[in-house]
Amino acid sequence: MMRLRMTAPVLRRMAWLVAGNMALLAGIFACLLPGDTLAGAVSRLGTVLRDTPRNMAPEMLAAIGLTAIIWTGAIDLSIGSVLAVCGAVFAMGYSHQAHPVLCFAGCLLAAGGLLATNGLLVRWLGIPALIVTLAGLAAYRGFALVLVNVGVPGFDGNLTVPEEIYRVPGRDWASGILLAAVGAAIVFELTCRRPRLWLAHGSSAAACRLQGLDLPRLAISAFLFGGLYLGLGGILYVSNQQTIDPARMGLGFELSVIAAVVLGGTNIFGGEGSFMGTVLGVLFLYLARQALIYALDDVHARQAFEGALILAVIGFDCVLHRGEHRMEELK
Amino acid sequence: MSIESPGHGEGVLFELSGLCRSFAGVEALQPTTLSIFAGEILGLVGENGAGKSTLIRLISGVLRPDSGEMSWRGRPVVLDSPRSAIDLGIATIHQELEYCGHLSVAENMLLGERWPRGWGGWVDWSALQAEAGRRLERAGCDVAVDIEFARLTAVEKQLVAIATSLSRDARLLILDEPTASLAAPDAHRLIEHLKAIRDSGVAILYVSHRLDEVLELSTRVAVLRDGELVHVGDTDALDGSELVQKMVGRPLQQVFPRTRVPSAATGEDPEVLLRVENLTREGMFEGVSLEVRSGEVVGLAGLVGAGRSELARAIYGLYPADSGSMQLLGRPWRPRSAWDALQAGLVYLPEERKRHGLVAEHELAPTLAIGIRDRLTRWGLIRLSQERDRVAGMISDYDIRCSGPHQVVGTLSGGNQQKALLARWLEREPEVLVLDEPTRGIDVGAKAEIHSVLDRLAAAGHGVLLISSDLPEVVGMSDRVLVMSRGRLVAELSGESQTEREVLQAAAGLVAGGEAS
Repeated sequence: MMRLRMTAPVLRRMAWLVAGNMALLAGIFACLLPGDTLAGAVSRLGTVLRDTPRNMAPEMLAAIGLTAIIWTGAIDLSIGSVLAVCGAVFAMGYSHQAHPVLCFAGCLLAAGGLLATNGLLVRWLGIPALIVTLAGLAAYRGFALVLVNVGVPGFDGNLTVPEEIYRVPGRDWASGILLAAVGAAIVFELTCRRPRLWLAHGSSAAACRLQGLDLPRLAISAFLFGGLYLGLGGILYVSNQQTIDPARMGLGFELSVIAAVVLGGTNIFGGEGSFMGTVLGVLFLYLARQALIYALDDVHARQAFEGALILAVIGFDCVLHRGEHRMEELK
Repeated sequence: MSIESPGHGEGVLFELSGLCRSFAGVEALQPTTLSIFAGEILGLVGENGAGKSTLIRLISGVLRPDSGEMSWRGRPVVLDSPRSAIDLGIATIHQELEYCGHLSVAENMLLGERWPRGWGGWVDWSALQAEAGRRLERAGCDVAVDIEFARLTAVEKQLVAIATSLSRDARLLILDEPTASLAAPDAHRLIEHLKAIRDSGVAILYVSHRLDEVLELSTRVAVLRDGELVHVGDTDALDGSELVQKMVGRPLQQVFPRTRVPSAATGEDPEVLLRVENLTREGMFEGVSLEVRSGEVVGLAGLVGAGRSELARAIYGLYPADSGSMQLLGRPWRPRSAWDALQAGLVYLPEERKRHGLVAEHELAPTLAIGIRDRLTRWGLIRLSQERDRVAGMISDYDIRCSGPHQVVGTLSGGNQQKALLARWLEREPEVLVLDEPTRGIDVGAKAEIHSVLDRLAAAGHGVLLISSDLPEVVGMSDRVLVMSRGRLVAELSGESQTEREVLQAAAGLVAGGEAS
């Protein structure tokens, strides 16, 4: 039996986001109407909607992966740099004329391997994930640059990939891959034990330990899951780029992904959240950016508005339920 | 020390032989030999720091002994992890339950096990809930399995934890202060439940500071003092005072000291320090009116969930009341924050000292000094020499037993943590103290010291509102007892009517209302 097993705050946040996403769609439509006929505006809105899955696929897949990691009470700040490593691995494969499948498999392995390494370091060294992955943020970016400089003959800062076959996943299959991956994650969440154990880990590691659960294995499995989804996102990301530039790829990506996860109702300290909330959170941020593109010309003003919008949604929810939160703390 | 009680030659379930453990050269548990028999309740008592926790952690596989052996049904065993203890049939239910609050009751119950699977290997949620329900039913618990664990009441959490242990074929149940956070009727419900479990052949190691419970429940009692097992014997051969004497190594003169002179005897009309009139906060308490006078300890009794703690927090300013009014020291009292209360001369000791009272990782010195930091600060800078002197003074005045001001406060015994919290606030010289379960989970010696402090405070003219689920305490320490039930004040007891029986009756809703005195 598939049933929603979410806490009231997560369900509430999801309801907010559904309403918010509808409002943003209406807002985009309102921005498209001036200077166009109704039919024209509808057609342009259709184009926006058609491009939405492809454009937000990397972020959404990475966000789903990061959600699992955050559930356990950890975090990974290095995902933007891991994306750069994916780009470097892809560039190396391409420059050596490797088959596209091999290039994409390399991206998947690189992301999975690096995130699993993060998980192992967190467990073995006993250092908080925040610190390990903060170090990874710098180290992996440097690693990506070393890889392209050493592994790509004649690399001069970026690499253009003109062959269409290397761009199929990101351009033609993105929607399908996204749909399948999101569906799989939600089914996994609703029907399997592992996601519940990740939440249990984040909720009370002591309780899990006393129940005899293998905490290191649990945490590393969450990082591996995160790596798998980030790797998938990485494939779609690099294959949707005209040029591969590891110095700039995925810059600030982690912040936007974390914002989407938190917006989706996942507790940043672990133990609470849902993949569906994350999906809605990513969609909200994407639609907000689209609406701002139509509403504002100034790029910096758009960024400011985007930040304000995130704060407004979470803040409004918190203010409305401040009393509840306080009571919860005092229990 | 090796002490064995006679008459239990057969049915040994678990045996410790010369088990000992040290921490950083300090012997927390001296070589201990002890047998636990199937179907018995063995009470384990001792002051905080006596070695009870160390013994429990050794038996539950959390710690490994430095030396000594353990045997289970006559076979030597090594308990090197909680899992190995669980697999053997030893279940430990700690005083502060560890659980995953956002997961359901069913998920928490089966957390460490394989979950039933259905089609495609997916979790069969219905079967999971049904299994949890069956386990609860077998253990005689009536708790919904599909709600979030965090939403259960304290006693329900305890019952679920016990049911979970029993469902894993636990043959030895270790209960560490299971009734510490329970009101009397809930504690009684739990005790009756434990008797039924004992009768089914399960052995129980029952650790509690509530000696009346230990004497009622246990067949034998073991006493630890300063890491040494000083007594094991049949419970029938002991009474309460003998047990206390064995625990502390000296007779305790008076559990509830009363050096203050009642106002009735002096003929004075003491000043009202705190007045609450018709205070209401929806869903928590309704129409509560009370007064705390100078030199008075006013007890506030009631069942868990009666609204006592909620009322105390509203008085302290943690949240506002919906209606009603308050006066503090004769002036209207509308606190907007705890800081308002501290500045006005009202302090509050929270029910859960570890969660709401102190930061366990901090050292003792900042824990004590934080209460008077505003008074130690000039131009935004803390005067460190003054801080040092005041902290040293507090440690000495309140007899906080520690290795020094730099000891991490979380490593102090419960009684000394509570004394530290009291000292922190008393240093502000407050007029009114609202104390919520000030002696919960602390040993008899520390309890007596805190009672003595409260008596001295009242004698010096302070007003104390004492919330306690410990009936002898609330009756013995208070000048009058107010009883709350379902958010309302239902009785005020004083004089001859101030008895445990009357308090319980009122708390259970058996008093129609008004003054019972």
